[in-house]
Amino acid sequence: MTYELIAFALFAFVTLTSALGVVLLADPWHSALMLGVTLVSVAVYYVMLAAEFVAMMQILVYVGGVLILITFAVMLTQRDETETSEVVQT
Amino acid sequence: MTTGPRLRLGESLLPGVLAVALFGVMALVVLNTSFTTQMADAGYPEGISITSEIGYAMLDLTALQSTEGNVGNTEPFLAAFILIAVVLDAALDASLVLAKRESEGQPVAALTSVSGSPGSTDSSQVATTDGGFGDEAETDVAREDASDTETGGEDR
Amino acid sequence: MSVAIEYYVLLSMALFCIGLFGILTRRNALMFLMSVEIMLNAANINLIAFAFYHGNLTGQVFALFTMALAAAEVAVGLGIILVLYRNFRDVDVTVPTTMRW
Repeated sequence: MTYELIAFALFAFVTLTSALGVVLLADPWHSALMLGVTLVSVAVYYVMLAAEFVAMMQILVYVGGVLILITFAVMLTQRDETETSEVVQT
Repeated sequence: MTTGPRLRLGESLLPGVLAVALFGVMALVVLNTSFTTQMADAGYPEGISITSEIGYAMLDLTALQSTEGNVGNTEPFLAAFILIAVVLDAALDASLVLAKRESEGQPVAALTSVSGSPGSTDSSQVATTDGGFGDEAETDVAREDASDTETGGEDR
Repeated sequence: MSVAIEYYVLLSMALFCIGLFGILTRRNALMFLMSVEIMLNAANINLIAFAFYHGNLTGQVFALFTMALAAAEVAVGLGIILVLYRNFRDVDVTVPTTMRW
């Protein structure tokens, strides 16, 4: 019983810290990685709440689909602030 | 290229205070609410498979549903299931329409800027999301590259 | 139930407020998308926790529907973001102003 409470507190700390990392980090790619940590740790609560199927769907849909799509978008749109200075005159 | 993670702080004091205040209000509401369902209801009975019960609820198979505990009170969800299927189809079509590029090098009608947008200063040079910066030095092959990237846009 | 329901509700509210904070402060459209994902996850935690608390499966089925809807929303949102980047060379949400007013 108390072990479950300890696990809950630990994973709540992980979730909240990584969610704060998502909104506070400057680089969108770091934010996407932190979003992955958040989504995986949210799946832990689903397992603790006897929702194993929803936890598996969380991993598959969010981490396997949504996070990959966000990674695509980050990598396709990321170089505007780093390389714009090199290609000004064309 | 690799940089360490940097925090992005500043100019966000008011939204931060707003979010914390909202959390305070909601936490106050929660802590003053007494959740008075019988604790015996919490959790699921032992001998059932939750995954198959989810399947029965999702497909309206109420005859197969278990009646132990509160599991029998699960509502059927077939109409919502069909609606979600239609919504996923619509999302697929919408993302295809958004990713399509028209043949003249002009962007599609959705979200097109009228004039003087920073991306469309040169008409022979399309702003692509993939490899758009690599072919800007050679102006004579810009047309060809534009057609190449157009087919790439069609693929996407 | 060894972890009280209040803790789950407080956790989901904290996640929701973090997502709201992200939407209010960032100007990158991708960060909007990620913050919306965080808020949807907060709602899902609430649904699953109350499904466990009441002992029936309505919340779990509804959480599955929410996840499908989130996936559809991300697909359309990424299409919009890529078109935005193609037309404006930027994903800043304050740059496109032609549909404003």
